[in-house]
Amino acid sequence: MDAMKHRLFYRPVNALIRGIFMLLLLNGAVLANERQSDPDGCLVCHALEGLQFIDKKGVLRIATIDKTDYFSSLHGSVPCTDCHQMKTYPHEVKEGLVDCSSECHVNEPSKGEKFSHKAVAKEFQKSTHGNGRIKDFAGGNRLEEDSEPDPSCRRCHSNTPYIIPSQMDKFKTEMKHADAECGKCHTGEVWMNQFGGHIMRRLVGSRWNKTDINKSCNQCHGDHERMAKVKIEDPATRQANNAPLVAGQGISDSKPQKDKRTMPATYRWVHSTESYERTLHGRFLVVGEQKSASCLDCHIHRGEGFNGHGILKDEDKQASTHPDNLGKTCGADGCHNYAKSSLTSGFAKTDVHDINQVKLPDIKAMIDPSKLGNVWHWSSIVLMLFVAGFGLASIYWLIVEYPKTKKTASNIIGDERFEEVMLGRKSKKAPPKAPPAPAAKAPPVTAAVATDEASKAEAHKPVATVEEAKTENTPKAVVDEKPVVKSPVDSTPPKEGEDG
Amino acid sequence: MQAIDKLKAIPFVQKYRYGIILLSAMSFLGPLAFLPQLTGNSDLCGQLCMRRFYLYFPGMTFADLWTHISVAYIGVIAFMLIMLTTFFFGRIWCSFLCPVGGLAELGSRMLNDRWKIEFRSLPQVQIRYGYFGIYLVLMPMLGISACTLCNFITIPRLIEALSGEYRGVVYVLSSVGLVNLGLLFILGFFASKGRAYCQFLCPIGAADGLMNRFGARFGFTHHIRVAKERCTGCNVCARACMCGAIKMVDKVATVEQLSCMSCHDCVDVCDWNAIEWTTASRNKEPKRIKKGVEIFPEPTWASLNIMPTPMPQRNGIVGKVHVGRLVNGLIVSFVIAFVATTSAIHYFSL
Repeated sequence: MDAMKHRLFYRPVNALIRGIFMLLLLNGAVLANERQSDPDGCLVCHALEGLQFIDKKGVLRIATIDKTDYFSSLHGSVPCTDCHQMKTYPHEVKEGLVDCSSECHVNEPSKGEKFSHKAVAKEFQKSTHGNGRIKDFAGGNRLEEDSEPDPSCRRCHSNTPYIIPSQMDKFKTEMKHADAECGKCHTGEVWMNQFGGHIMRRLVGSRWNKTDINKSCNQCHGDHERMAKVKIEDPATRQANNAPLVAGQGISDSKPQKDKRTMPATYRWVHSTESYERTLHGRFLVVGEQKSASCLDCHIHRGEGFNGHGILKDEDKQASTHPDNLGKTCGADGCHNYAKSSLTSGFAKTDVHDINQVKLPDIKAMIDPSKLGNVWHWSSIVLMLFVAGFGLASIYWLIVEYPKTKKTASNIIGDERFEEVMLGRKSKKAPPKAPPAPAAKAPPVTAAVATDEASKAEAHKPVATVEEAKTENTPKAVVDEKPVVKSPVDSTPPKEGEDG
Repeated sequence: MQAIDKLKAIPFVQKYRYGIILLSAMSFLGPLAFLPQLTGNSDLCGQLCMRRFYLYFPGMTFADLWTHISVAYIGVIAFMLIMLTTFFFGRIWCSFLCPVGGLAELGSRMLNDRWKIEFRSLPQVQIRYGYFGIYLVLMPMLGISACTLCNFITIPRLIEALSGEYRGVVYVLSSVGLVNLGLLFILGFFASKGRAYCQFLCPIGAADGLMNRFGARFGFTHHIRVAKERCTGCNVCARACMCGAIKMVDKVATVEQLSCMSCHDCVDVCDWNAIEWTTASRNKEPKRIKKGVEIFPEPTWASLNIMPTPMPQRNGIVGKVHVGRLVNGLIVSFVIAFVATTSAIHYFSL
C-alpha cells in the first residue's frame, strides 16, 4: 500500500521538483542567481562591463567577468576566492595565480575526501609539456601565453561550460533518464546532490570527442612557424648519442648542435600535424569517424598512476610511442588488436607521420649545396643519371636504329610471343595475315539458320569433320556445355572431345 | 582527318564505353570528384577504400575485421555491389566504370602501337593471384602498407597534380609516388591496350575475376560466351581482347573467365556472331529433327575456361603435368597454409 501511495503521490511531486530544478539549470540567466552567492563580492566590480586597466608593461587588460559564462561553467558554483586567493587591494598579480594541484572545495563523492587535481598535476609535470608547471598552472595571462612554448592547464582546459551547447539535447534526455530510472530508488535530495552530477557527466559523455581533442593540439602544433622556433630539450640520458631516434626522418633534418642541452626541432616534428592529417587516422577524424585515433590515443602513456596527461618524448622508454611500446599502443583495445602479436611486428613500423606526404619545404633549403648529402641530392643524382642515359639512348635510336625499323606499327616487345601463345601460331615466318581458311572450316552455318534441306545437308558435314579433328588433337579446352550440333549420321561420340 | 576517321571507326559499344569511362573519371577524380565529395572525401581513400578491409593480419580477430569494415563502410558497400553485378553481368565495373583502369586504357589507346609492350601473353592468372596472395597475407605481416602499390591513389593524385593542387604534386614527387607513376606508365599507358595493371596487380580485379568465373558457371548469368560451331578461328577477337583473356585453342576462341572483363571488344569485331555477351542457351533440346538432323533454335553459347597447357612430353614422364595448374595450386595452398600456421602460432602463444 505504501508503495502504491508512493507511486501515486511522491513521484509526481518529485518529478515536478526536479523539473523545476532542471529548468533552472538549463537557463543561464536564472542560474546566475542560483549557483553561489558571491560571498566575497568580487562580482560587484568584475561584473561591470568595460572594466579595463593598463598594467605595468603598458598592456590593456580586460577584467570583466561575464556572469552568464561564469555561472554556467564547470566551476560556476565555486566562489572566486577559492582559487584566486586575493588578499590585498589593489590586487597583486601573484595572488591571482591559480594552482590547480591544490586541494579544493569539492568532496569526491565515492570516498568523501577533498578533491584534488594533484595526480594529474604530477603526471603533467613529468610529461613533455611539464615546464608549464613553473607557471603554477595559471598560464599567467592569455596574452603572454600565446608566445610561450609550454602550455599551462588552462591552455587546453579553459573554464568551459558545464554542458556545451552541442551536448544540450543529450543532456536533456539523460536528465529525464536519470530521473526515471535512478529516481525510482534514490528518492532523496541528498543522493542527487552528491552523485547526480557525477553520474550525469558519465551519461552525457566526454565533453570532447576525438575531433575536438585534435583541435586543441592543433592550436599550438598546427602553427608551424611557432613550432619551428621550439628548442627541444635533449634528455640527459641521450646526451652521449645526440642523433635523432630514427635516422633520415626529414628533408631538412639538420645535424645536432654542439650544445647538448637543446636541439632545434626537426622538420618532421614541426610538421607533425600536417603529416598526421595525411594518414588514414587524420582523414577519418576529419569526416567525424570516431573509431580513428586522435593525437592522444597514441601519444599518452597508459599505465598505473597515469590519467591521460603523460605525453612523453619518443626517446623515453616509458613513452607509448617508444619503438618498444608501439606494438602495445597500436594494439590497444578496439584498435589494431593484431599489432600485439609478435608475428605482426612489422605493422608497428608503419610511419604514421610520413614527412613525404607533406608540402615540400622551402625549395632553396632543399637544394642548398652546403647540405649536400641529404636525401634530395642523392635521389636527384640518380634520377639525373637515369634521365641522361635514357636521353642518349633515345638520340642514338632516332639516328641509327629508327631508319632500319619497319614502319608498320607493332609493339616494341612481346608481339611474337603473343602470336605464339595466344593465337597458337607455330611458325615465326608465317605471313602476317591468317591463311585463307580451308573450305571445310569456312561455313559457319548452324542448324538454327539452315532451313532448307540441301543447305542443311552441307551444313552438318563440315561440322562433323571439325568434331573429328578435335578428337585427334590433344584437347586443351574444357567445354562446360555439350556441343549442340550433333551428327547422327557420323555418330562420333562427342564425349571424347571433352577434357581428357 | 586521320584521327577523326579513326574515331569514327570505333565500334558503337566501344564509343559508349569510352564515354562512360570519361564520365566516371570526371565524377570520381579531382578536381570535380563530386561523387567522393558527397561523402566528404576528395579522393578514393579513407572511407571509400575498397582494397584494405579484407587484409589478413596474423593474430587478428573478427572484431578487428569488423573495425576494418566499419571504418571503410562505403568502400565495403561498393565492393559488394561490384561483386553482385559481376556475378550477374560480368565485370562491368572494371570495363565500363573504373576510372583508374579506364584512364590508363584510354591513354594507351591514344598512343601509337610502336611504343607499347605486349603483356597479354604472359601467364597472367598465376601472376595476378600470386601477387594477390602475397598482398592478402604476407604484406600486412611485413608491415608493407596496402597503399604502397595502389593506383587508386596514383591516378587521383596525378589528376590533382595536373589541376595544380600541391598535395598531388607532392605525392607524385615522393618515392612511393614515383614508383607508382612508373607502374602507371609501364603497365598502363605503354602497355598494349593499357590494362596490364588490372591484369597483374589490381586486388579488386583479382577478387572480381574469381567472382566472374564463379558466375559464369551458371547458365542464367550474362557473360562473354562462345558459340564454338560458329567460330572460324580467325583470331580477331583474341587480338582485340584488352585483357588477353581470349586464347585460340585448336582454332576455337576460348575465353578465360578469370581474366575476361566483358568489355564487348570481341563481340564488336566478330564477323560471325560467334562470341556474345549473353546467357547460356535456354533451349538445350533440339526443337526439330528433320531427315535425321537435329535442329536447335540457339547456338551453344558455352563459357569456356582455358586450361593451362601441359608440359611437353619428355620421355613420357612429365607429359601430364600442367605447370600453370601446379602454380595455381601452390598459390592457394600457400595462402591456406600461411593463415593456418600463423593462426596456430598466435593461438598457442597466447
